[in-house]
Amino acid sequence: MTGILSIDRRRFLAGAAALGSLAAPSVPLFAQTQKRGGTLRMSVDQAVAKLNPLLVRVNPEYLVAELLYSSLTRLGLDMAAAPDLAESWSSSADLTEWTFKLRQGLTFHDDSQCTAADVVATFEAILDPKTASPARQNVGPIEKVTATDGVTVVIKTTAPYADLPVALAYTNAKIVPAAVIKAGLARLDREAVGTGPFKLVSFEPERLVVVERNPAYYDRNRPYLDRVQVVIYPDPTAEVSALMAGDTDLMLNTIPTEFGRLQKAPGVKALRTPSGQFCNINFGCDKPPFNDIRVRQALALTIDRAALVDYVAEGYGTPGNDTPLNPAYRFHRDLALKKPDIAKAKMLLAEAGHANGLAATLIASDRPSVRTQLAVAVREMAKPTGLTINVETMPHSTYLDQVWKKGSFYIGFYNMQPTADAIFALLYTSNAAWNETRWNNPDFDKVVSAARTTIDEAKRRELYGQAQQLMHDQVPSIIPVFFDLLAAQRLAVVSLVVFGITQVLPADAAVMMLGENATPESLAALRERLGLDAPVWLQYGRWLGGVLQGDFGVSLRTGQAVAAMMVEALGRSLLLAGLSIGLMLFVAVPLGIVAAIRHGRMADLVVSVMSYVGVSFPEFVTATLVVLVLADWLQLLPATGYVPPTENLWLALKHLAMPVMTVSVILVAHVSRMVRSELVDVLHTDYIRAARLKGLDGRTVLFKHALRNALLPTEPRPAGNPGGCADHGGDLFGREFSGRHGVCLDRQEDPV
Amino acid sequence: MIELFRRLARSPQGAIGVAIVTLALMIVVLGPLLAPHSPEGLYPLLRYKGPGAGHWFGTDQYGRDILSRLLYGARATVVMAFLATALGTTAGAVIGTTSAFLGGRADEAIMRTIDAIMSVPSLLFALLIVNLLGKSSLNALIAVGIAFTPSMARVTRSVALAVRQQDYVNAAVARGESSAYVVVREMLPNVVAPIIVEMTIRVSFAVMLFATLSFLGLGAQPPAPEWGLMVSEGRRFMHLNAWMIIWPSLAIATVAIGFNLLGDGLRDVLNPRT
Repeated sequence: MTGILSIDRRRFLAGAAALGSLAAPSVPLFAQTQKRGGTLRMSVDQAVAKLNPLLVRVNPEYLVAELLYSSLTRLGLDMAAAPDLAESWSSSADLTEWTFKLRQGLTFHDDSQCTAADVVATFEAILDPKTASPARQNVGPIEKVTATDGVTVVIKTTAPYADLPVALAYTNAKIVPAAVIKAGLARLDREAVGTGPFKLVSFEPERLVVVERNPAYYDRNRPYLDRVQVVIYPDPTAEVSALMAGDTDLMLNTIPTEFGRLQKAPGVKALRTPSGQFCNINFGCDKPPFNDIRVRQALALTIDRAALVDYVAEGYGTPGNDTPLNPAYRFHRDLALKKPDIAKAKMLLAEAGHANGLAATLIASDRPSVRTQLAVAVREMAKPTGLTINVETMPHSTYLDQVWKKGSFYIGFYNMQPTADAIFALLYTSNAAWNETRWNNPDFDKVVSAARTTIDEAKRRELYGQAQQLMHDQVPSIIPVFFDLLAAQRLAVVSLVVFGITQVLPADAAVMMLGENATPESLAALRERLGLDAPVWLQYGRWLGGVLQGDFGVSLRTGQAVAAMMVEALGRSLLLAGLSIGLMLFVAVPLGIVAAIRHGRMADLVVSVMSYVGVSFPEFVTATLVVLVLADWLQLLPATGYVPPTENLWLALKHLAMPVMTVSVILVAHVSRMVRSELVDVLHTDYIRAARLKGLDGRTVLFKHALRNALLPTEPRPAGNPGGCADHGGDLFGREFSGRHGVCLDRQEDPV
Repeated sequence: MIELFRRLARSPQGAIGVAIVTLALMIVVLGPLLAPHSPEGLYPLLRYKGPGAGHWFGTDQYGRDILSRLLYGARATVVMAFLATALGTTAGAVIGTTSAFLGGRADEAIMRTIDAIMSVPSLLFALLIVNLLGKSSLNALIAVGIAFTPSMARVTRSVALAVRQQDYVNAAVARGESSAYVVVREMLPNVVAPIIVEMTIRVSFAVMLFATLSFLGLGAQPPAPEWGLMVSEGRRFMHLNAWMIIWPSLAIATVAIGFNLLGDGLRDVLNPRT
């Protein structure tokens, strides 16, 4: 099992990350000559809010940082350290002093030299709590970094640390110029001065990041590509549709529910590899009822792990055994997979004094949605033992505030870490950065710290094996499922351009497997900086105070000024509303007229039924169905994305078509109904009869006399509707499907 | 009453409305008895089935029978919508009648306040209230009820203003009855008919509003078979089984259409001009 998985993982890294080193041989044209040039269009699922590599914290940001910057070391395909800016390294015998040799002649994008002094300045910035870099907790126990000459860096650690070269490959440990640090790191939020293979061309946080080849990259042969476009698609379904339609060449990450569609799509290669990313159920081991080991073991015995791989990961995952290590890690120990045993679980519960059952509330945040799915499945699986689990969902930010690390029964979600030590020290040792379970087991602490200072491979394996056994037996948290890493690329692309990016991406894939991290300290620092620790009313007061001074604050999600965002979003809302109302009037008024003059006949019936149906579907249902039919079944229109009309009118219209149509459909139903009933009333009034008797023709009567009066009560509606339509159709639609068409009400403007 | 019903059934709108609403009520009462499967049990081997024998409407991501979930969910969806509307209607009727009875400055003050509240869209208003009260089905009910109150108050007031001029109200005032007595015993009974019409149509809005709240994650909690929640959850599995969205969407729409038609039918029947 282990062997197969690790081979698969390597193959994936070779295939997905190196993008086609496997596919290449099947494309003869490509096998001989590596083609240079071309643009790669890559899609990601979240905004690239900032560029500062020391502060980035979500996958799309990691990717961009990886394109623009380099580290001392990078992760190889086997999760071991490989050279990046550092050519070679060595350590003292006791593993506390490490010497790194940099490559000669390194330059930053602004043509300044990259020397050991920049490395020292970078690490000083990382270790400074004020910087609030997630790297601070993750680069190892560094005591001091010094430069002995232009290309030699010496790193001293406070304790022996065998994993240091791996730790230095951490995503946030990117080298930036000393001069920039001195002048203020804020400059790097929207600019890039790195040593990476690409240079920044343009940066629009919510839409598109473009980078071009850096001719001064230390490996003169690479990269092969001229440009990479990182396109942001907030809706996963739309992202998949874009790849299938050939609008993008490669998607960094996809979700299990979309993967099947990609596997079947022609011209698309779906990529999959097991990773150490998992979803778990955390117990507060310091409070009843979960301080009783038997209760935890009982719940662990109710869970059908193989079935959960299907429920939670759609089959694209591996079952977990209540330890955070799976075969994707170097020191995984293959323990017998736990099987459901309801009788034994009941017995354990009875021994723990819960023979009559036990009720508990399991909390699941709404992002990612697999949390809720796991919670609902566990609820059902635990039922036969008398454990009654109530599932409570909440917005992710509320969860982070009120439940995370404090609650005693909730769903967690974690990405893979580079080493066994990193994941244990992040979550499960007594001094863990996020000691969620408060398990505080001294035996476990002892073996983990012993392994950290051991060089001998076999001994480390044994120690980490013991640690896994302890977690397996005592169940501080149930880890039932690991997720596979899912991605996709277009086949045609492989032969032409993609190979050119090889240089960059092997490290990326490893980086992506590690995924998103933020340490509690950096969070706290960020929160303090942003004033999020204050009660809501105080925050509001501050904001209000700021508004009076002309400062609208900074949107936490993108770092853009809120005022600028509002103006931009308002522009989009108005555009959407204007077009929708125009289209609506164009359709609704004629429909209403036809229905009214043919009152009580077939045409009237048809229009009435249509408007009844239109009025009776909730907006989100209409929107969902429109997307389902137009974007997914017929593949006529893109379901998401926004292109400013100034940039490309045709594309802009194409992207606006779907939301405009949806909003119009909803409005047409309401307005045609209103036009009809008003017109029917008016047509029965005396002055119309008088006009007819006067001998005026039907057309004049209708348009000159009746319609004017009938439309009077209708008019206020469209006029008053920009608000209403942006609010209902527009925003529900915008939020759910386009993600970027209007001012969104419920998107949490909160970091993490 | 029977006469009213007979006249209602004579118009096609009324007849269809009555039929759909009756069917919905029957499902509310008998749904769990009719359901062929459990709405919550997990069936790993039956996931993402399309409509077919055994599972007429297909199955969802846990292999749960969609038909059974709809039958169970009718209670959560339809009953809640009805209760919330009744709550909003009662509160609105009392406020509107009182306002009409008091007249003058008090009337002005109440109605301008109502106008101010009504300028906030009801979905936004309901969201605000749910956020203030916390997430639960009961709070969602209260939120929808409160969100409906202002517009009901307005409708009631316009009717009540006419009633206020009637001799029997003046007589009651002249008798020296208390304001509360006049409002509750003399005026309210005489404004009931138009309110009922308005209320029927509003039930359909409430069905949609509840569905929207659940869709946004602020109403019922999973695995509850609430229809809006089903659509919301189903959206993620759109490509694995589109029926997971289609059936609950149709259910919501059908009930909404039913109440709309019933309301229109009732309006025709109760309207003296027709």
